[in-house]
Amino acid sequence: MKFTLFSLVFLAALLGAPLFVVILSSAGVGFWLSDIDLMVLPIELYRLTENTLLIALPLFTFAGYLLSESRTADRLVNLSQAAFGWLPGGMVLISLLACAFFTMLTGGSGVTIVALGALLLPALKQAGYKDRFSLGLVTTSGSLGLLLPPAIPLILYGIVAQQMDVANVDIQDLFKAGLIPALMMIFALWGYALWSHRHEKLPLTPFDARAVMSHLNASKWELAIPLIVLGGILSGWLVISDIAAITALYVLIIEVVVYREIRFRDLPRIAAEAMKMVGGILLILGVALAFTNLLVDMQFPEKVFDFVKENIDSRWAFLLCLNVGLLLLGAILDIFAALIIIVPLILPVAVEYGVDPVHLGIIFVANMQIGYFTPPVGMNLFIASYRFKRSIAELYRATWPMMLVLMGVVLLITYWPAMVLVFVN
Amino acid sequence: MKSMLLKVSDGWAITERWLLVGVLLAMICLAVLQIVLRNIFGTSLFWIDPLNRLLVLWVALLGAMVATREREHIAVDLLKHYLKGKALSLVTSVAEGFAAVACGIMAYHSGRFVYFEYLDGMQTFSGLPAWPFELIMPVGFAVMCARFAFSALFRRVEVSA
Repeated sequence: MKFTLFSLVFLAALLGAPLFVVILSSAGVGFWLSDIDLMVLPIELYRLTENTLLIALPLFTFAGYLLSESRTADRLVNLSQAAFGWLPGGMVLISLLACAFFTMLTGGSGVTIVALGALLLPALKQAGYKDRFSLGLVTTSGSLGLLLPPAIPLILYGIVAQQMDVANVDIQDLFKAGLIPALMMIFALWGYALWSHRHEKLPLTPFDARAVMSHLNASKWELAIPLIVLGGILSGWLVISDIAAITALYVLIIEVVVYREIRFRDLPRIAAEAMKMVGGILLILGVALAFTNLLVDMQFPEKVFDFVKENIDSRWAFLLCLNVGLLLLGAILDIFAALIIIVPLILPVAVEYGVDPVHLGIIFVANMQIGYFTPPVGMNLFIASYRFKRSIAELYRATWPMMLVLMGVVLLITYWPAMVLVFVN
Repeated sequence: MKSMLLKVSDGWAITERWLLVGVLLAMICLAVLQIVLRNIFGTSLFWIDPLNRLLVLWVALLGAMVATREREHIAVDLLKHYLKGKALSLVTSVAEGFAAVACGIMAYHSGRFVYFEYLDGMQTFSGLPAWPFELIMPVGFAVMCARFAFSALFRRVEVSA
C-alpha cells in the first residue's frame, strides 16, 4: 500500500503534475500512513502568514514585471553602449552588464532573454562576433545577476533558512556576500570573450561623453532603483520587506507617471502575470512546510546527515559533492522549487561540516544559475530556443564553453569562502 | 448549459484578476504607509503588519488559481519537451487528473479547518474573526480542483514551441 501510493505520486511528478501538487500529495500520503489527520495540511499552509519577509516576494516581482513591460531594456543597452563601447570586447561587457542588471531587477524568471535578447543578439553580431558565440552569450547571460540584490532566489533562501532556526541567516548578509561572486562571473565571461576573439580585430566605438550624459539622463529614474535597494540593504535602515514596498511603489510611479510607458489599464494584466509566478512559488513554499514537517517527524534529516557523515569525511569532499549534486539538480528542477525543497535537507548538514550558512546560500544559487542553461531541461535553453527560433541542440553547442567558464567561477566561490564573506561580519 | 458554465467561469476569472490586483495594491500602499508613519511620524498602525501577512496567503492562492487556469505551474516537465501530439495530450490529462484529486482532497480538509476555526471562534488581529480570511484556502483549492478536472477531460494541449 505504502509503496503503491508513493509510486503513484512519483509517477504523477514524472508525467508533469505541478510541483505543489506533488509535494502536497507526498505530504498527504505520509501523514495519512502515520494516522495523522490531514487537516494538518491546511494548518501548515496557513503558516505562510507567519513570516513578514514573504511580503518581499510579490512586491519585488511586481516591480520586475513592470520594468520588463516598459522600455527599460532599450535604455539600459543604449546607456551601456555609450559608456563601455570603447573598451575591447565592449559589446560583450555591455551585454553582460545589461543582462545582470535586468535579471537582478526582474528576478531571473527568464524574462531577461525575452526582453534583451532581441536587442543584444543582432548588436553582438553587428559588432563582429560569431553567431554561435553571440547566441551562447545571450543565453548564458539570461541568468546572470541572480546573486545581486534584490533578486528573488537569495531572499527565498533566507526565508527558508530562517524558518528552520538552524542559524541566523540575514538577507542583508546574503546580498553583501553575493556582490563579489556576481562581479567575478561577469568579468570571467568578458575575459573568455576577449580570449576567444584574440585573433580577430573587432571595431570599437569611440567614447563620447555627451552621448553618455544624454543616455544617463534618459535612464536616471531607473538607475535610482539599485541605489534604493543597495542603500536600504547596506545602511541597515530598512528591512527587506520595507525596501520591497518602496521599490514597488517607486517603479509603479516612474513607469506609469514619469515614463508613461505602461498604461493604467495594463496594470491588471501585468499584476496577474507577476502574481501567477509568485503565487505558484508561495504555494510550493506553503505545502513544503507540511512536507518538511513530515520529514522531520520521520527523522529524515538525521538519516541524510548520518549517511553523509559515513561516506564523506571532509568539508572539501562535502563541498565537491554539493557542487555536483546541485548542478544535476539545477538541470532538472526549477531554482525556486529546489531552494524550497533541498535547502531544509542540506543546510543542517552543511552547518555541521562548518560551512557558513551565508556561504552555502551563495554556493546554492551560483550552482542553480548554471542549471538555467544545463541540458536537458535548463529553462533558458527553451526560452532562447523559442525566442531565437533555433534548435535546442544548437544552443547546447553554443553555451557549453561559457558553462565551463562559469563552473570555474563556481568552484572558486565554493572553495574560497573568505573571498565570498569579506563584506559580511 | 455549457455556455452558461463558460460564462460563470469567465466571470469568475475576471473577479479573480481584480481581487489579485486589489490585494497587491493594498499590500504596497499599506506597507509604504506603515514605513512613512514609523519613520517620519514615529507611530504605527498595529493592524497593518498582520493584515499584510494574511494578504500573502491570498496572493499565494489567487496567483496559483490564475496559474492553474493558464497552465503555468512550476513542474518537472522532463517529458513534456520531448513528447508531442496524442502522447502529450494523454500524459497531460493524467497529470491533471491527479492534480484535480489532490486539490479536491485539500479543499475538503481546508474546509474542515475553516469550519473548526469558525466553531472555536478563533480571532486574528483587532479581534476580528479569523475564518473569513482563511476562506481563501478551501475556495482556492476547490477552484483549482475544478480547473484541473475540466482541463484533464476537455482541453487539448496546444502544440507549443
